[in-house]
Amino acid sequence: MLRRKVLRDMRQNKGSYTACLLLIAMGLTVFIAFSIANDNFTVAKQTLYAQGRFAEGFAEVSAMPESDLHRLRRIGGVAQISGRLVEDVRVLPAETGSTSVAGSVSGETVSSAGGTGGTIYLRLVSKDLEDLQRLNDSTAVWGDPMGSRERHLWINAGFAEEHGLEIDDTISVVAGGRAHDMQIRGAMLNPEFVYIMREDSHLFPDPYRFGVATVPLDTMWELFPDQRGIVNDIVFTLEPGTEYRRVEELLELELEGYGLKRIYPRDDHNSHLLLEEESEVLTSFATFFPVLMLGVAAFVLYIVLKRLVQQQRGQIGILKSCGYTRAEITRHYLSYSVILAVMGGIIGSVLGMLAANTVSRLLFEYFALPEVYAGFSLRYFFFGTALCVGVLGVAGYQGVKHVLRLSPAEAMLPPAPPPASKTIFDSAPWFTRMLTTQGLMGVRNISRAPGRSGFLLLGIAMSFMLVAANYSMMAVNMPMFLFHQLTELETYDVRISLRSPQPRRAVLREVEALPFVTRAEVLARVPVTLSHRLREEDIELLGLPEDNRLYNILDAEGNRITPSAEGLIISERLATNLKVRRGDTITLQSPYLRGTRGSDTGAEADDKIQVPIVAVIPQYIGMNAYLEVEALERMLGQPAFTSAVLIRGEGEGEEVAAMLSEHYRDSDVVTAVDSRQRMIGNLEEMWELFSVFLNLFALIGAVFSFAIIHIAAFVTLSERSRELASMRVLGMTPKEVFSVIAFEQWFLSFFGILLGLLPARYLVAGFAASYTTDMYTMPAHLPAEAIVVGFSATLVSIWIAQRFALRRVRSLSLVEVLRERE
Amino acid sequence: MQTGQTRRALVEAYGLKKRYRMGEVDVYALNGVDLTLYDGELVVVLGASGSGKTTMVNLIGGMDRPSEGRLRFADRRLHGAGEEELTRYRRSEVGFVFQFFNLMPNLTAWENVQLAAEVAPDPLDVDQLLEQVGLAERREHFPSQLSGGEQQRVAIARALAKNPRLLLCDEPTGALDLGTGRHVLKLLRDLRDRYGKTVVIITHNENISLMADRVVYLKDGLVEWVKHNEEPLPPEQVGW
Repeated sequence: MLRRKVLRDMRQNKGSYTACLLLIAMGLTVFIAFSIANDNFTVAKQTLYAQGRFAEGFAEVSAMPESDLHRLRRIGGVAQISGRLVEDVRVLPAETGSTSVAGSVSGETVSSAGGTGGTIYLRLVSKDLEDLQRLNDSTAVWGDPMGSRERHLWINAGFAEEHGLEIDDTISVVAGGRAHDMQIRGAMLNPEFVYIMREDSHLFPDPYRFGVATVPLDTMWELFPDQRGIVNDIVFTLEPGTEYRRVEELLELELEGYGLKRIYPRDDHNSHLLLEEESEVLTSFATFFPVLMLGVAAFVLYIVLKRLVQQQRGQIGILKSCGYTRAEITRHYLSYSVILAVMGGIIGSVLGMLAANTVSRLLFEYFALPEVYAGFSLRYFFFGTALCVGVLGVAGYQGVKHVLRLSPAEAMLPPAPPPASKTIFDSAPWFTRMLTTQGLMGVRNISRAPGRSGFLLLGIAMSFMLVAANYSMMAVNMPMFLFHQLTELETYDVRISLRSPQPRRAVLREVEALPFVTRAEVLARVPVTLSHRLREEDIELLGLPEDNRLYNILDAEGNRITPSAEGLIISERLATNLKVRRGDTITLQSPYLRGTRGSDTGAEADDKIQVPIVAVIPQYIGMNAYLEVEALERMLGQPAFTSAVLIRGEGEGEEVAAMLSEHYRDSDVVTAVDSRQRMIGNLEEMWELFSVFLNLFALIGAVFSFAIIHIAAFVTLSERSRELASMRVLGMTPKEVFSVIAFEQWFLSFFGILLGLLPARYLVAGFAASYTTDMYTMPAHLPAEAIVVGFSATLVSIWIAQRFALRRVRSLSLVEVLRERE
Repeated sequence: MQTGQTRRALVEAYGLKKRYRMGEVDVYALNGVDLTLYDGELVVVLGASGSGKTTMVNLIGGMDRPSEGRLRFADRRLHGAGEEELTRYRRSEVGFVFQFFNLMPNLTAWENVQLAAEVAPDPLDVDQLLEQVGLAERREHFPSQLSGGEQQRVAIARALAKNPRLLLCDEPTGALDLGTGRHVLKLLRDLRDRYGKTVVIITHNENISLMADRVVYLKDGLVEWVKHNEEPLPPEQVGW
């Protein structure tokens, strides 16, 4: 019979129970969808890593004879080692490609202004067909298995899809100073290129403009005749139980003679790093929102059940007088929680499992991962439902325990008036004197319902925090992070990247002679290892001319700093990692640092010198050090050289880029011609997509604020309807009556917002930290405008929620409310 | 008490009906009440449960609207009045006293009375009222610190604070013992005498009708009879 009572009670109060059910179901949907998606993501990643024998260590060298690889295999702790030739090439557009055929990369010209324009690059990675256990091997998505030594290539699936490429299609690439037609034999996924970016400093993958292709090693040597017999990229795995650092030291010694540029473990591999971060994001998403939803649901249920047992006080007395035990009555009231938790669990699980597939597919597509699913498992359903039953059970019990303790006779009597005494506010008469009686009621209610006031205070603090922090990220930090580099620091029109260091003066002379070039500056890029005490960082040292105008170095206040010949200017991140500051001296090592013996640069050995730090600057993308270019050359003991040329030209940047691209179409030395305008355009495209997600967070913040206020007002109205009705009977207008609730809410809101300021700062710092790696440093500003926006959005949410509450006050039936027994 | 010739009608009801929808049927709580209340009189309304006493007082007090019929308070037309008009009416003309007091639990006795005085156009002095109901010493106490009788006296002071012309009391002694109940009734009569208010008391207790100037008996939503008491008893002599 009691079961029937539960169902009827729930039907009578269906609004509140439905809200609880929705919150639980939504929380569980997010929990299950993102947990399963994360499982799928992890399994797909592991599968690809295992199938492709993903390396545990990576090294880049200038050139090493392939035949010398066998020496490296003997190093203790190395399980397996492979050498590859890796080169970036430009893909020629169909109309200018001399031998392009149908199905090739079609119709895209470097000067096209549409969203798909711009130069297209491919990274060719050689594959030794004789090595059957080669590392970082590809998994075929479609096409023939790799076995031919013809001019065949296997491209990454994303690139193929973006360009509509199929088997037997041909594309033209510029390699070794000539255009070559390459036939596509298949599409593949590769553990090394799950998150595919041309440069580590790029922020988003761009499958249209950059792809990866696997090419047989012999074919690579044919494409690059000057590199015949050479490899420039080494990958290796470790024997079980071997410490990476030990192998790295040994390999460093071996590879030094081959111009070692960089050696790093899998943990520093950019694609792997981003996958790990994505997994963390999925886990935190699967935790944060469900906990929030479940918390709110638990609170709503606590209030609803508390109210229910107060209303049913007499019924409880009757049940007790009929001989029902306290345990039976407790079970009866807890069954409300259990029913909601189980129903929410089932609905949330079904929706979660359906959503999991969609989320997984999006992830597989965005990251180049195989569609591998972890398999159906009920553990999240059981865990989620059990958690809901537990949390809601406790909330429900807290709500009902007071009335359940009463004796039957007591329960049949009307409850005593709620206890009241002077509050903390009454000890400040100067304050209470300023208030109307309604205001006084409002502030007293705050201290008399500390639980609810605390809920409201925290809710407002949280919603302010969400809105202000999201706004900071959206409007200030993210744009600063994304665009600062390409708008404030880099101010050229076009950047030409060179395959290897070239004579500085000759390059400048040639570029400056071009009629559409108005200014050209060199940019020397040198791989260096900076160390200070036990700390060490591998970075790129940039050499800039003293009168640089096309690549600015800016301090924290945005003032230009001239590249110094006296010492290094380093990024804040680098300074933090090395634990150094301005004035300190650090040790610099570089494969370029040869022949410095006896130079006047302070060299202490062949490849190590001490360099002072002259300034520390903020840098959001990359982690670099800067030095005046001639000083750099002197320090390295190298003749004047450059690795890139920065160009300002006449007319639009993209036009200049197009002309340069055409001019260097068949150049073996030029590897990339990048238009800054195009790079900004690409970023803007990605930013638009990305901002949708961030806007979603801001919206959730505002909705959350609205929901919290709405629930608080609902609870207040339901608990105090008698008081409010009495005030209406006294002749107060609905607005005057509502002013009690409104005053209470505005008062708490003021302090809630103040309370939210510090967490907002922490949340911004947390957001920033989650995006920050050695490569990216996300700024963490919480500007005044974000505080104003957070403040305004919270106030608007409160105001809207209060309109609903005011409507309820207006519709309060005085006769009905006052007729009820208290 | 004014004589029949000179007394002024304060409330006039003609054919007053109140209909409620109960599931699929209409139920008439009032079925055509004709009644006049005069300035300064003390009226007791009697009737069994469900006879329509509370409904009638709710309509007269502007807490609810009649379904049919005419209802006037002095120059005001209450039938057809809007929410704002009824609010203004309650604010200035009517004071309510309920069986379960309906005090604000988080306001002191003085603040509860002041709450009403604040919204009224011509309020009475709050301290003086508390003095008159014998609670000057308890003015800083909260409802939970007062006895039932004291709470009801605060409720009466609150009802009077607006200086209304009509005081409507719905079972004001229903939750009180004999001594406290008599004390509250005496207070109501004294206040009527002192301020000349019209006081309407709804009760089940027929003995209370002996202190009234007039007794109205309701049955099945209609006025069954109206009786004049030539010599009303003092509240102290009212039985229980």
